[in-house]
Amino acid sequence: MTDTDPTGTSATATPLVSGRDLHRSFGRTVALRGASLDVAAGEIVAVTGPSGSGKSTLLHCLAGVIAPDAGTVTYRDHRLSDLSTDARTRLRRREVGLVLQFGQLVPELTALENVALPLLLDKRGRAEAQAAALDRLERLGVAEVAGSRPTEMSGGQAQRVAIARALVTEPAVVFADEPTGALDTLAGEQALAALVGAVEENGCALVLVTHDNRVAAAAHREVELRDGATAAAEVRR
Amino acid sequence: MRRLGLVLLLAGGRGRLALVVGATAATTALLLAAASVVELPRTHLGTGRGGAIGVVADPGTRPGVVLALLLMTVPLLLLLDQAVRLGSTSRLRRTEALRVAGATGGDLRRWGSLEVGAPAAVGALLGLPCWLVLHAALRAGRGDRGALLPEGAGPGWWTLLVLAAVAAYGALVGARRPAGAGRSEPRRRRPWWLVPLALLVALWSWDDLFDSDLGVFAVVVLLVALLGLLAPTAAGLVARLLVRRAGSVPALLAGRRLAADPGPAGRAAAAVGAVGLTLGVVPVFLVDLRDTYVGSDRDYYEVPALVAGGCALLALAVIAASLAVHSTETVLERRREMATLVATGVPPRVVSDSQRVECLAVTVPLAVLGAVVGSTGYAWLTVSLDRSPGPVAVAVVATAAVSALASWLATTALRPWVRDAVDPEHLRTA
Repeated sequence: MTDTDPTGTSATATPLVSGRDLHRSFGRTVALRGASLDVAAGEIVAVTGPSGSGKSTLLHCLAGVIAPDAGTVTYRDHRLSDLSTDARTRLRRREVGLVLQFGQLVPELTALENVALPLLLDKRGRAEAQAAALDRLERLGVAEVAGSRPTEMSGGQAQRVAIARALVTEPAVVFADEPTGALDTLAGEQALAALVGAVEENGCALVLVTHDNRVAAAAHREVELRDGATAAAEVRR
Repeated sequence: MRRLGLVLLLAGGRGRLALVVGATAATTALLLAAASVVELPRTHLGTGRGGAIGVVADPGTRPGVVLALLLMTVPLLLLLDQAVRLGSTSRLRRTEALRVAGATGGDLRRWGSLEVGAPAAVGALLGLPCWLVLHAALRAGRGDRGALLPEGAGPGWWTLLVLAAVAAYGALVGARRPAGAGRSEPRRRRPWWLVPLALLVALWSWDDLFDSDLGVFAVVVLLVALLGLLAPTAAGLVARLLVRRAGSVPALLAGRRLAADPGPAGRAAAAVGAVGLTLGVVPVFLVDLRDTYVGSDRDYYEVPALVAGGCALLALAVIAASLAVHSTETVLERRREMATLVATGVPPRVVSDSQRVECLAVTVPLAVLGAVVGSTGYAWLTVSLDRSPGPVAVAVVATAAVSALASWLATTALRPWVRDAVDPEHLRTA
């Protein structure tokens, strides 16, 4: 089903994360020109578009990783720009999960340590953090690599470990930037199934940036970006 | 359009340029000081006001002074080496891109030599004013006891040679590593420390060991070798201990980083151990001198000991800086992973703190071990000393404090680079 929504927002639910009229440039390169996106709790949204359309920049703005030059990002009615740097960092750690295409695990740490990291930072005891991390790895089917370093894992295993780290704090929303982009078809399908399954099990929202139609098909809603702006049409499933 | 060489020179970053210029300027100043001592007349010089201190005035001990000045350049050259490694990851990418674009090995070496040789030449030139400051400092403050460098001492025609040599060394280092230094796989360590240990045990059975100068010299050399060869093992041990006991994320990151690549830390630890050994001996030696020596030319021994202590402190600062630069280089190499960590809510200071823990974990234990061995060993060897624990305790505590301070300062100075490297904004391009 195709709706027409000029703001690229969901009209049916109260937004958990909302980005409105976002503009962002990197030097002379304009990445976002008034993009808007709302994400409701528990919703899975795919952001699609050609290379250079601003998908990753939009995701990073919504996740509070970078600040937009103009426009607002709100999370549960709090404007991110009103929060201090420390408060934003804490918010990202506790409420937001982040999965990227590659290069996200610390190479020197084991899978278990990588997953336990956010919990250790929140002053959880080492044993408690490791137990929670192991539980998360088990649920994602990669407990066997708990003691391995990222260089000793396959790409698919490393991505599932990264998903485990994103979910270990039980965030309200997970942002995934091309989570299957660096994987072969089978490993990509497994990683996507693991991500969507874990997100649905946790009841959290998921924002997926992808240019892969098969990945986008896993979302409840698909929003397209063109030249840094949200396209008028979006696909609902 | 700017020339490609200039573009590549500036692409290395200001921090790298500053480190190369600073290290070569300080090296030049020390080499000029050494050349000044070599150029002194081969006769016994006057001591006291307007003259030189005993060890410089005496032509017999002058080669030792020159050697000490030359040895002082070693940590600075290590720092230069570390500075050249800085940014290896991005330079490796750049080199590959240049190769794809058709650059030959000769082109890369030429650009590499320019990239390091040009700032090294600037550093060599700046070494002249540094030398003048050093010269003034070595002449001042000694009053009637004579100066470390007598009035009018200067390197003369050697100056040009020294400047050219330093600039050429920089160019050579740059040409040798046009793409920076790739991280090599950690090698398996062999227990070479067993060799000096076995020799020490064998020497122990010699009854007149400590009655002979040769015996004492052999014990000291073997102890230094033992410490140096044990240092990488000790660094690995500290790393494993850190990982096992890590109660914080910085300690965990530091321990894992050390355990993954203990080589550079081990080499730094060996140097720190040697410095600790010197810092342990000097206070005990000075106390012994004060208590037992009644001659009027106490300066003959006291000043070189103080200079050796000063050199050891300088070396410690340079080693700590070199270690911090290496640690920063590791973070820069992992900038994507670290930027992702920060994006997922890890405060950037955790990354900086992990570097501080890493530096402290390498420097403090080995410096303290060196100081303990040096101070207790010297106190034990010195028959005249009353064996009170005071000087030993002072030497150990001061060494621990100084090594911790040096690590703290070095990692604090590099913090802005680390913060910039882990900025999640780089996730787009890292």
